[in-house]
Order: sequence, then C-alpha cells, then structure tokens
Amino acid sequence: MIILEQIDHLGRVKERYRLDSNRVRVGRGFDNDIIINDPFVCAHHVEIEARENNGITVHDLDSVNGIFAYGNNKRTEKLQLNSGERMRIGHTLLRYYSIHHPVAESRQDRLSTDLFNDLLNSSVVLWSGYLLLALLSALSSYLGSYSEFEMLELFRAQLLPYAFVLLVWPGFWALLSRITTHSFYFRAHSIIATVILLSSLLYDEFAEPILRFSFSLDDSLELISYLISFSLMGIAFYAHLRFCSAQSSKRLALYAISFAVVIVSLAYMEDYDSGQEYSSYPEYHAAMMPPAFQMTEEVSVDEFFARVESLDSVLQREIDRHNEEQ
Amino acid sequence: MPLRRSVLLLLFLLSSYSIHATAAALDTRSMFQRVSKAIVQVKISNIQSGEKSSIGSGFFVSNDGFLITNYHVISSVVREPGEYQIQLILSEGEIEKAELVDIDLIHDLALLKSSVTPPVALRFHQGAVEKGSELASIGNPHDLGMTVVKGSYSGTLSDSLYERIHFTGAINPGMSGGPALNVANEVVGINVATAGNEVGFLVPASYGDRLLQRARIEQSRDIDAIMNEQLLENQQRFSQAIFDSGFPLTEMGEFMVPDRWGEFIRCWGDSDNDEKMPYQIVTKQCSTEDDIYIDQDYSTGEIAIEHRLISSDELSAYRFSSLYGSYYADLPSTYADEEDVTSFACQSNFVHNGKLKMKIALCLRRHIKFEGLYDLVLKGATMERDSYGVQTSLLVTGIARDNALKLARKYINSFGWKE
Repeated sequence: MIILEQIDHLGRVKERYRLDSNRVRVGRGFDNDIIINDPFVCAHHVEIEARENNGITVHDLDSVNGIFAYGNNKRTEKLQLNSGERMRIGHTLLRYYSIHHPVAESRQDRLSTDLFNDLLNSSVVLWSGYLLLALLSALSSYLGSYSEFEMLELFRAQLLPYAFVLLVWPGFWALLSRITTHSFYFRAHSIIATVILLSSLLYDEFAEPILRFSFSLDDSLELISYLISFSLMGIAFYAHLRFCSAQSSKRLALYAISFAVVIVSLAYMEDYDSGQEYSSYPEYHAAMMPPAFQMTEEVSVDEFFARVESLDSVLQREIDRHNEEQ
Repeated sequence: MPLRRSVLLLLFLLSSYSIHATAAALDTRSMFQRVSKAIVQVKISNIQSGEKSSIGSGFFVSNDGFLITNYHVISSVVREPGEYQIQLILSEGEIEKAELVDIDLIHDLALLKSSVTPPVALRFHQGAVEKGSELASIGNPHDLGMTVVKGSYSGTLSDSLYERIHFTGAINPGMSGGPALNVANEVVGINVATAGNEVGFLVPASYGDRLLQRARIEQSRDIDAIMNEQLLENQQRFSQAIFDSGFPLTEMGEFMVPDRWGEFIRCWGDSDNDEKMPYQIVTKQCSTEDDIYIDQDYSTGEIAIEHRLISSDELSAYRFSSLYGSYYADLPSTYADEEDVTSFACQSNFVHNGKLKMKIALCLRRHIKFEGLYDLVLKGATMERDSYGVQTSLLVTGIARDNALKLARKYINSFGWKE
C-alpha cells in the first residue's frame, strides 16, 4: 500500500492519494493511477514500486524533465524514498508515506470542547454580563449619591465609558484573533472583558471601600489592591490570548503573567513617584460606611496615641530627605 | 484664611480713597515739623536688579541710629538672605543703608540699625493710654510722601492672640512701620494693619521699647534662631491658654463637643436646611482672627475648629455614609510651600473615648526651618448611628509636638453624649 501526497513548497497537503496496489504509475495522462495537472510532467512520468522495508523505488519513464530528490537539483534515473521523504517531478512536489508512519499525538481542541468555551460562546452569557454590569454600576452610583439621583448622569459618567471600553477592547483582541486564527471570536473576547470589568467594579466600588473603611493599614491595603489588579489583568490576558494562539496553556500563562507584571509595575512606579511628592493636603482614608460595616475593633484613646508615636519616624525621614536635597 | 485676606486687601484699597476732614485738637502741623526728621521710608530692594520689593515706614528711636519698623516690611531680607538690602530714605531724601538687628515676629516688629545720627529720635510712651485719646499716625502711604493721619485710641483688642491697639483712623499700605503719636509726641503704637473704614491696628509701643532695650544689653544673634525661639514661645503661650480654659463643651444635636477656648477664637454658625436636599447639616466654625506672618506664602499660629452635625431621615445607611464620607474628606485650608513644611503623616483608627465611638485621623507635619514646630490636623466622625453623626476638624499650625498631642487627646476625650 502506498500513500502519496501532492504538497506545496511549505509542505502543506494539496492532494492526498491512497493506493492499494504495490506498483503505481504517475503522469499527466488520464490512464495513470495518479493524474497530475502540471504541464512540466509527462503523460507517463514515473513508476513507483513498493519495497519490502516500508520504502518505495521511483523509476523515471524516460520523461522530458526527469525526477529529482527533494532539495537536490541533479536529475536521477531511479530514486529510493523512505516514509515521509519528498521528491519532485516537473513543478510538482510529492511526499511518500507508508501506512505504518507514526502520527503526532492528537491535540486537544480547546476552542470547542470545554464548558468554558461553551460559556464564552453564549450570547445569553454575554447579554447577562452587560446587564449585570449596567445594574451594578447603577447601584454603585445610586449608593454613592446623596442628593437626587440622575439617570442622565449615570449614562454619561458610567455607562457610556463602559460601552466604549466594551467595543474597543474586545475589538482589538478580535482583530488579533482574526489575524492569527482566522476567526474573530468577538463574543468570547467581549465576555472576557465584561467579566473583568465586573470584577474590578465589584472590588473598586464595594470591596475596597469596605476594606479601606475598616482597616487603616495603608501599605497592606495597597498591596492587596496591586495583587487584585495583577490577578485580574493576568486572567484577562490569558483568556484573551487563548483565542489568539494555539500555543500551550503553560506558555500562554507565562505571556499573560509577563504582561500583567509589566503593566502593574508601571502603575506601581507611577504611584510610588506621586507618593513621594510633596502634598500640602493630609492624606488619610476618608471612605465611610455604615457603622455595621466596621470589621476592626475600636482602640482606646491611649492605644491610639501610642500608635500616633509612629508618625515621628515618618516625619524624621521627611526632614532627612529634605536636608539631603539641600 | 484666603477669604479674610482678600477682604482685608479690598478694604485696604477702598480706604485709601477715603477723605479725612476732622477738626483738630491735636496740632498735627507743629507735630509733623517736630518729628518728621525722625521718620523714614524703608525700602527693600533686590541687590542684583536694584528693583524695590516692598516699602514701608520706620522711625528712629535712638540717637545712635536704631529704628523700628514692621517685620512684614523687611521680611524678604530675612527669608532670602543675601538677595535683598534695606535702604532708608530720610526726610530730606538722602538714601542710607540699614542692617537688621532683631525682630519680634509675634508682634510684627523689626529693629534696624543705621550709621545715621538722626536729628530727632522718638520716645516710647510708658504706661496706660486713655481710651478716646487723640493719636496721629505718620507714614508714607502708597509711596506718596509722608502724611499724618489723625485718629483716636480705641483700646486694645480683646479677641486676639496677639495684642493690638485699635486705632480709629485710616492706616494705608506703606504706612506700615510708622509711629502713632500722642499729643506729647510719644510713640503709643506702631502702624501694622487695617481693616479699612477707619479701623486701623497698632502694635503697642511697649513691644518696640522691649526690642530696643534688648539690643542694648544682648549680643546680636542669628535671626532664624530668634524666629524659632519666638514661635516656640508663642505656641507655648497659646497652648497654655487653651489648656487653662478648662475645655468648655457645647451642645451639637445629641452630642457634646468642644467649645471655643477663649475670646481669641471667634465662632460662626451656619445651618444648611435646603428642603430639596435629603439631609441636614448644621455647622459651627471657630478660628483665630490673626496668624503670624512669616512671608507671603507662609504664616502660622492659626487655630481652627469646625463641627458639623449631619443627619438625614430619608437616606439609607449606605447612601448616608457616602454623604458622611464626603464631609469627612473636607478640611480647612492647609496650604504651605514645600520649602517650609514636610508632607503630613497620618494615623487613622476607630477610637472609643469611653463615651463615643469615633473614626479619627490625626495628621502631623513638621516645619523644616523651625525646629520643634508642627502643624496638627485632626479629623473625627462619630460612628454611633446609621444616619446621624457629628464630624469635627481641628487645625493648629505652629505648635510643639507634645502640645499638639496633648491638645488632640483632650479634644478627642471631650466628645460625648448630651446628658
């Protein structure tokens, strides 16, 4: 049994033939076993004969242009090919396979097999995401307002920017997907973006103010905020990348983490810079919540003033820094 | 207090156009003839460019060339040493140099020394002055030449941390540092400020006399060290006045909150009951009227208290807390230049003072040039009920660390429920 492939110069298969006999004739004539539409191929160009050891022998049938081993420009009368090797007749490339040729392990199709991808492809999920985002941002602006609540203001300040982001960001990734995988996956990218926006809205508008209200530990809260933005960013990049590349999950995760590290460190550097800047305005956490949201015990006046002592070293550092600059 | 300053400035300008035509019991013409040779114009000019940066008046107080003027007239010489010089323009127009010898920062006075031997030197009046006595203030308003302004002595200000004479008469810019004389041609006060409309302020003569006496016995010292010492002394004085006040309390809704600590702190009340708004706010603000001028962008020695009673029947607990938070972020002005103070460092906690639970942020910053001087900002909010609470802010500038903390502790401890 002989398997022959007609391939292009990149090795991509144009035609594949599976022949039961052990002797096969190839040419442009219609009486051949394999008919090749190439003006540089003769009517009867070669005869192929199967050998014992999974190989073949190719005989030139007195053709005009002859036969060549792949990558060799010297015409030859007879050619031995092992399974997987190529040859050229006329302008046509052929590759031979024996039926025992091993194939690569099958790759898992992430884009259509797991539950996640089903969810990411569902318009119900997408529209519920949009709705939830709109509701939550409406709720947060309602709770954050203490005079009259204005719908128009909500549209202008919250929903319009979200709508803009939800067009541009997934649009960018969809274009990237189209370039790399020939499909847009716009819905999947939109769902990913919506989920990330929802999570950051929940953290920024609800979780963080509650944490800020209860814990006055500036540095650790800042660390938590950085960790959360790092995780969200990492997850977002990873999810988007899966629809842009067929590379292994491990590698994609690595890319995603690297992106997230770069962006979070840039943000950190900027925050650090502005934190070092002089301000004539005292910076303390002004976030307020109903008393029931208080998660830490109150301290006694004595304990409070014991903690105030720690300000001395902070101020001394400021003075030292100022003296150094002089 | 930028508002207060701009109002002052406006009044300043207005007052320069007011006309004074009062019958004279005090013979200003003969007085002027007698004393004018003791009075000079003080001009501060940039050494590099020669441009003048400020002008004021001054007067000789001794035959060996000592003069008195206001600190604020010569402040650039102190604040930017080596860049400005003091020039005196004598009554005949001659220009002479003078050196700074000593200052009284708290009362806004400076003692200068020149090599001139003045034909006349003024004497300080000793002892009390009768209210209503006639005075004549002399100076060089708006660089227009020496003028005499008649007015009367209206007593000393009771509601100021810094002793001032209330002079009913128009003191104009440029007259700062000039003398106010009684019928005996003695200096009763030194022109220092105006609130316009014939309301002028003088520094009592005794502070000028004190500067002169000190220069006679003490060696000259570093001006920065003198300022530092005076600022520390002054904060000790006003801190002690506060501690001695016994911390009176006043009602604010269901709470008791600290009241003002003496007449040197003035209070205003305000309530905001707009029916369209779903909440009510009652505000009580108290602050000192004066501060200590160091330079154009740097003043200190201010005390400001503000209480706000915030309540709502309509807002839910969560929405009320947004309102509560926006006021918790609000503070009196703490503006100062980077060269003068550090950034604030803050400690923030829920604190229970035995009576009430409060969220408190205490912030301190240090003055860079003046060792031991701090600014205190304390912000507090009661955390007792869902839609009802009182918030407070306390600002004290130019106070020693220990006094600041002692004051803050007493302040926090004084909050409680109304009996």
